[in-house]
This record gives sequence, structure tokens and C-alpha cells, in this order.
Amino acid sequence: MKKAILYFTLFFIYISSITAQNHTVSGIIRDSLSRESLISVAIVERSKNIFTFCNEYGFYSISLPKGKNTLDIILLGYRKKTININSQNDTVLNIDLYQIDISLQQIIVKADIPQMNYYNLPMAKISKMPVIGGETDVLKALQLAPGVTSGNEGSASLNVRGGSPDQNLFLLDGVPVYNVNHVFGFFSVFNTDALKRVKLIKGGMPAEYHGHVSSVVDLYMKEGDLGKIRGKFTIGLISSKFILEGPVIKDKSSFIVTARRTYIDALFRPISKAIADNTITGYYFYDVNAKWNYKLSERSHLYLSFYSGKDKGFVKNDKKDNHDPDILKINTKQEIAWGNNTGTLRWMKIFGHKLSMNNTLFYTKYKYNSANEYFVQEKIEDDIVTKQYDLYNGSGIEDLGYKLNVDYFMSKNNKIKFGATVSQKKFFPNFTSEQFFDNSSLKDTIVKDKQISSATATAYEYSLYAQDNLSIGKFNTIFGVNANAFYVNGKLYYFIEPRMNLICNISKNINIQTSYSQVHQYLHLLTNSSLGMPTDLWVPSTENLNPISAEIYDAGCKLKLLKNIYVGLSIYYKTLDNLIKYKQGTDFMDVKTDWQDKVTIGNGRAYGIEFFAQKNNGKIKGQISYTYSRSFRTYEYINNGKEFSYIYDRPHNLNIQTEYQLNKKIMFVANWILMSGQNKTYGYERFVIEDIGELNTSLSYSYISDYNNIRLPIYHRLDLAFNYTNKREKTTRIWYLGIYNIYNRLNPFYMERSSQRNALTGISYAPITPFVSYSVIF
Amino acid sequence: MKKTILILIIISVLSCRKDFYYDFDHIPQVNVSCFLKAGDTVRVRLSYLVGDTLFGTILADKDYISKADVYLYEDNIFQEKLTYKEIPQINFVEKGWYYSQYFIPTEKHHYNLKIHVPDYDTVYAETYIPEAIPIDSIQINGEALKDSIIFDRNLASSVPDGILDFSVNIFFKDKSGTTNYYDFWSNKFFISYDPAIEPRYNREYYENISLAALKIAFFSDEIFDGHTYAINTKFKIDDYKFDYISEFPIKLGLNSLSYDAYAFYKSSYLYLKSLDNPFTEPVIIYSNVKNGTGVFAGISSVEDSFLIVPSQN
Repeated sequence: MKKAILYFTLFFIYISSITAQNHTVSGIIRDSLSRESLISVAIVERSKNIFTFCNEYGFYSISLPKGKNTLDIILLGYRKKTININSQNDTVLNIDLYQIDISLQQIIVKADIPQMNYYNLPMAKISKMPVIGGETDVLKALQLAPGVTSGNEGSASLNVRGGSPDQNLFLLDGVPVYNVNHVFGFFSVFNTDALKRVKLIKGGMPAEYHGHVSSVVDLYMKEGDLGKIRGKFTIGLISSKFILEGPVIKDKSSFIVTARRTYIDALFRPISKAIADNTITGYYFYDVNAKWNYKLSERSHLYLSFYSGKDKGFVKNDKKDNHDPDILKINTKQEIAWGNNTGTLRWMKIFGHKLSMNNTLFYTKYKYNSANEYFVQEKIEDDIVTKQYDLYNGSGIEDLGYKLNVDYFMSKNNKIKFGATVSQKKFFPNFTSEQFFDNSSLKDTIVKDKQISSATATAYEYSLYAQDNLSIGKFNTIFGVNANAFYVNGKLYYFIEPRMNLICNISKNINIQTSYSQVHQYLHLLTNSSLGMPTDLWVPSTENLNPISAEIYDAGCKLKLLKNIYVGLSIYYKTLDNLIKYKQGTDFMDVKTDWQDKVTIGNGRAYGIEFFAQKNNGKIKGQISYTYSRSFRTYEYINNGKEFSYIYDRPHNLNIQTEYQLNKKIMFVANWILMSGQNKTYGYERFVIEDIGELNTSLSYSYISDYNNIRLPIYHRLDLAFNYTNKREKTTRIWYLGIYNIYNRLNPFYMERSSQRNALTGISYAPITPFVSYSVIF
Repeated sequence: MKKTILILIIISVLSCRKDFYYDFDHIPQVNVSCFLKAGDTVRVRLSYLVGDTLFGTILADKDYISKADVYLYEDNIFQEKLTYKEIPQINFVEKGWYYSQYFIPTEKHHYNLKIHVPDYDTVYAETYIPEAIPIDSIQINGEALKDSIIFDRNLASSVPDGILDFSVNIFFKDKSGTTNYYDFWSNKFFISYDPAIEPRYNREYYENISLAALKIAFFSDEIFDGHTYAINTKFKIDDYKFDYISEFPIKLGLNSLSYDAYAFYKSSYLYLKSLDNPFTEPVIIYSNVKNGTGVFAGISSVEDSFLIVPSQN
């Protein structure tokens, strides 16, 4: 408690010592066509070396000295706007920016040198990247960031700086999304057409975020065009999607709806019927995003957004027993389904020229279900007898909460942010029930409905934060504190987490940065070692299981080498405590054992060095990034308590991305990825032990020297994509063609025993794969 | 549900599956197999670590080591160089065995093995034989055990399959101050729901045939450290239904295990339980052998018995 008081005292002394008197220019920055607010726009007064960025909701406020000032308004993908302003009084200035072809951007200024820990990706760039199946994916694009590795071949999972996928906080319009995978991780749940902006924060965690120890992926949905109805329809090899947006009341209210669905099930239905008569096998996923916004006034907006997505796989069998005419019907059905639902109601209000406030009410739910149903109907004498047995199993997590964020642009050098979050979390780590119906005794009908297990927990999470972004000369400091608490099963955990960033702009072309973050995570994801399964369980910290605790240190520098070339280097070190993992030999499908009895507690450490070089304009653009990183884990009941190399410990990771804009219509994109193979635990040797037990039994065992004893061969592949854009009078048509893994590298998805000694068979599911999609924009 | 998930995974990706081989470096290693029992002759079997295949692996004669020097130490004092033996069986000869000629290990001592195999690094292993813990008393169906117990033969016909079942409590006093490990055994099949017994092996016996090979009910003193404890078991005797059996002995034993034996049993149990189940976490078999694989583990035991005598009715 003393520590908490000390932090807060220091923080408020620090803030109160900083004041300045200037005139303020403030307003909202919007897209000129859709009238949607924009994010991360830089507002720069070059001659006086003053700059600021608008917040996540497009609001900016900049303090300028009296007299004439020239403001440059800059955002990647938009034409730079220069505004001369004679600053005498506080002024409201809403600014519209014009979107330009991304290939023509010339927008690098000092203020654009981002923090090394942030990775911003324009959606226009993501939509041109080559991906398997042609389904562009925001998380696969983020995998190319330095310090980020992927999981299995084709997986959209993110492993940031030695962390695990569950340690990333995914926020969709400020709402946590718990399961970000479709098709066992091959696609993410985020439809790129619905998104306006995505930002990955790898370190130097801003104080407003808490609850996940590795990274934050902040995604913002589009708001809908306030001016006219627009849309896009895309048809691809495995899915189709559409987006429709437009005004409800012109310049006052707008909507956007996007939807996507795969048709693997429809394509596979005749094949499954051919393989087994009366059997239908299928798999599909869909997701729907919708958002409505209403302008209460120029300075007050209301937003309502919604997301729903689901994956479902099933095997149905419907038959009649030909050998026994008395069996009238036998039906069996097995299915699994999982998905998220989120909803947000946000009210944004601007007070005066310096303060904007966002109140958000949010709801998020992730649910996984499986069902096994057996039904038989038979004729016994003159009676029809029915027997039915159903077994249901599932897990889930549900949040309902409120969030307040306030941005206060105190002075030209000082921006303060503070807020609070309170949420109720309900956990359903495992529920299993069975139903049994039988009227075969003809006199008495037997009905059983039994709950086998139903472990639930309700928890409350609270967070208060304050952060000050202060510029003094060449130095820019971001100092913040997040105080958060978690109440579960009568146990209260609370932490005061200091967050510090120091940026020194040594010259116009060089800056160096260092940061320190302390973060705690109250949620744990229990996952198996093989696939990213929907059966993974979100479980809370409990009275016996402390929250994950992480400390992250990093430092880096970024410099401008030539006119358009930037290079950067950063290093990091991270410690992780109170991690959990299934004990060795645990069957994660065993629903009868409480999850707390199946886990072991451990810790981890990770470190690395990241390098990147970037060319952001011209006909040829690109980025090269290389990361050397290591990540280790130690658990009491795994690997005999010895430290082992983590599954996502991939020391070398090299990504090269290039884009070539041939002309306004044609663009080529190439990505080459090279990284160390994944770690796996496999035995390919054997030994025999004699004289076991009282029967002196002899048993043969597979030999595994250590957990994650095998590093799979080096992973590499080259992907090419070709974009052809044909603009017509009323529509734009886009052909998106490409080849995934063009030189057919067989990267293993998993390994299994081989027919040869001292060998394993590698199974690859992503050989050379062409893809195509066609979009019409109107 | 497992089946559903497996089917879906297989179907969804089967169409683009490509298989290819990866060869891994096989580092030859010596495998040691020895449970050192207080009061028994020492016997060690040496073999090589061999490459595994999809079709299973049976060790050939060449996979057993016949030219090794095996030295045994008690409390760091050299005791004996073990003698190589080949043991004739009906159709073959078991190779790779090394026996003590004179030396008999005893409880409460540390033991070391030092093994020289040509072209290999010297292999070391160390273990401890714990003190045997006597069985204080035995209760059958809640009554103190005498030398024999008389059951009404007709009881057997009143239960399915003629199985006679009865409950046995085995009392013993755990030593405080250290973590102690045990295993309970009998010559007849039993089921135990005792909370101390970890493997739940006996109750899983019917579910998993691969576990049947490992007839061990091991446990630690975690829940009764330093106290007298009664291990509860349920015996199911199906021999009793046969008329020609007049009486037969039930043997009970309580082994005190070294940590090495306990850790090996535990990993063995998890390993066998997880065989053929792709949804389990991988299991590493415990080994305390340096520069090699396998196990060298100390055990001491006590034994008791009683007779089942059918009534003359």
C-alpha cells in the first residue's frame, strides 16, 4: 500500500509542476469522403518544433504560441494538408484529409518516427499482402513485425517477444476478444474490410492497458460513411464477404455492416456423401461486424458496435439398419462450435478545447460447445421404443464492463490521459452434462438429466490509470501508473504497475528510446501443446493460483539513413512469473478432473534483439526485419523441473516484404519469410526397462531427452501477390491473385512416427497454393 | 468429442497433405535398467538406445551390451564388479544381464553404479534404499486380521460372476521429517479409491489395457506425513467361485521407494496412460543415469499374508 501511495504522490507532483499558457487549436480530424474520424494523425508546427497526435477517436488539441502558425496535418495514406492559422484565441478547427493512393505517399517527418515498440499497419497495405487461401488477415500481417513469430504453418497466432498467444490483449473497438481464431488458427476472426486501423504494442505498455503481459493489438472498426452509400463485395476461393456502409441521416448518423462466410461445408458435402452414405460432414465459419454512429452535436458522438462470429464443425449420420427391420431409425450427431460475441456502446464528448472523454459500456463473450447425440428408434411388438443419449461439453468466458478514458491536452508539451475500467467476468472453464431418455420398459419412461461437472467462477476486475506525455527539449517522457485489482472467490489481488517510456530525439534523424513496464494478467489460457484448439480453457487466477506477473525492459534507436530509408534496432528482456501449463501426461479432454488439479506453475524469461530497415515511398517500397530472440520456461512438474526452450522459441526470424507499383492499376507484392523451426516434443528412439514392479515386468518406452527436444527444420517460404485495380465510372474492380509458398517448400505442420529408424515423418499442409479473389467496390 | 475433432481436423486438411521424412541425429547411448532391492541379488541389464519406428521396436541381441564393466559401490565404497550373464529361456537367450556374486544391498544405504562400455563415456547412476516401514496391522471388513479369514462360499454365488469382494485396511506409521514414497502390492487384484494413491491405476485397469502391465499402486506421504495411515483397498477375488479351491493365500506388501523409483513409476504410469491419446501432454520418462538413459532405483519391502478359507457349508 505504501508503494501505491508513493507512486501516486510522485505522479501528481510531477504533473502539477508542469503548466504552460498558450492558445489552443482543437477539433476532429476526418476522412474527407466518408467523414469518419481518423486515428494517429500527426499535427505538426515545424518552425516551432511543436507536434501532437490525435487520439483514437480523431480528437486533437495543440497549444500554439500567439501569432502566425503553420500546421501540417499528416497521416500515412492521406494527402498532407497545410493550414496557416493566426492564433489569437482558442479555436475549434475540424480538418478533413483526402485519401491518396498509398503508392504516392510522401509523408515522412520527424513526428512520424514511431516508437520502436509500436507497429502500425495501414489497412490498405494489409489488404494487398499474399496469404494462404487469399483471405487477407490482419494478424498474419502483424506476424511480419520484428519480434513477432507465428505458431504452426498457416496459423494466425501471434507470439510477441517470447510470449504466448494468450498474453496478447486483442481489443476490438476497446472490447477484449478472447478467441481470435477461425479454423483452428488458420484465420483470425477479424475481417479486414471492417477495420479502420490496427496497432500492435510490443513493449513500453501505455498505462491505459492492463491485464495481458505480452502485447496489445488495438483494432478499430470503421464507422460508416456519413455522405453516401458505399459497398464492397468480394468472392474468394474459400469465402465471400461484403461490406455496406452509408448514412442513416446524412452528415449526422451512419452505419456499416460487414459479413463473411466460408463455404468449405458446401463444397465438401458431396465428397463426404460419396465417402460414406447418409453421412454429412461439414465445417464453416462466419463473422458479422456492424456499427452505427450518431452525431449528437459537433462535439458529442454516440457509437454502437457489434461483432459476432462462429465456427462450427459437424458429422451427422442418419440411417436405417438394413439387417434388422425392427430398427426404424439410428441418428448420430457430433459437433463442435465456438465463437465470440461483442458489443460496445460508446459516448464521446469533447469539453472545451483540451479535453475529450469516452464512456464505453462493453460486453464480450466467448463460448465453446461440443455435443454428442445418439438416437435410436425400434419396433418392439406393436410399440415404438425410443432411446436417446446426449452428452454436452463446453467452456466459456463472459465480460460486462464500463470504461472511461479521458484525454487532456494540458499544454503544447504536455498531454495527460487517465481513466478507469470496471468489469465483471464470468468463467465457465468446464461444463459437462448428459441426458438419457429411454422408454424401452414400455411402462416406465426413464429420463436422466445429469450435470457431470460445472465449474464456474465470477470475478471482478478494476483498473485506474493516469499517464502523462511530456516533452522537454529533446526529451519526450511518457510516465504512467496503472492500479488494478481482481477479486475472485473471496481473494483480492491488487497491483500498482509503473509504466515508463523515455524518448530522446538526438537530432532530426535519430532518436533513442527506452522503456520499462510491469504488467499482471489475471487470466490464464490452458492450452495443449499441439494445435490452437477451441477447447483451450480461459481460467481465472484463484486463491491458489496467482496472476501472471511480467517485467519488460527494452531500449532501441531509430534513425533516418537516406531520404526515405529508416533503420532501427532494439533490445528487450522480459521475465514472467506464475505461468501455468498442463502437467505432463494430462489429457486436456478429461472433463472429470478439475482444471486446477491438471496444471503446474512455472516461470519464463525471454530476450532478443530486433533490427529493421524500411523504405516507405517510391515505386518500390519494403521492409526488412530480423530478430534474434530466445524464450525459456521452467515448470515444477514438466521436464523434471529443468528449464526448457519454449515452443515458440525461434531464435532467428527474417522477414522481407517488398511492393512494386508498376502503375496505378498494377501492383506486385512479395514476402519472404525465414525462421528457425518450431520446438516440439517427440520421441524417435526407444529403450527398455526391466524388472518393474512385483511382476518384474519389462516395458519399452519412447525416449525423450527434454521437453521440446526437437527443433523442426528451418521454416521458409516465398509468397507473391498481384493486384489489378480497374477503376470505372461508378465502380472499382480488384483482382487479387497470388501464389502462397511459390517454391513449394514443405514446412511441417506436425510430425509423427516414421517407418524408418531415427526419423520422423513431417506432415505439411501448405505446399504451393494459388489463390484468387475478386472484389467490386461501389 | 475427441473423435469429432479428430475427424474434422483430418478432413479439413487431408486434401493438401504432403508427407516427407526428417532424419534426426541418433546419439548412441547406454541404457541402464536396475531396481535395487534390499536383501536381493543385484542385477542390472544394459542395452543401447535404439531408433524407433512406426511399426514398433523389438530389441535384437546386438542391442544388448555384453562387454561392459559394471562396478557397484555402497556409500562410495567399492563392493563388487558385476558378472555378465546370459539367461536361457525356452526359445531364446536373454542377453545383457550383470549380476552380483556375493554382495547383497541393504536398506538405509546409498549406492552407485559406474559402467564402462567400450567407445562410450563412463555411465554413472546413484540411488538410495530407504528404510522398510513395517505393516502395523491389517483390518478386513473393519475387523482385525487373524491368520485366516473364513468366507461363506455361498456368498460368491450371490454376486455377479462369482466375485467375492472385501475391504482391507493396511496400517503403517510414516516417518516424519522426510518425504517418503511407497507402493502397495498384492498377489490378487484389488481396487483402491484411497486418496493417497496417485495413479488411480487400479480403478483405470479396465479402461486402459496398456496400464495392466504396470501393477503398481504408488503414493507419497504428502497427505499423512509423519502419521499412522491406513491404506484402503477393495479386493475382488474371482478364484473363489471355483469349487475345487479349498483355501488360498492373499499376499500383501508395502514397499518403501527411493525418489528415483517413485519418479520412474509416476512417469511410467503417465506414459502408459497417454499412449495412443493425441490429446495428452507429452511424458518424459524419469531417468537418473548420467551419460546414458534408464533408471537405477532402490526399494525395500515388507510382506504380510493371510488365508482365505471357505466355510464348510
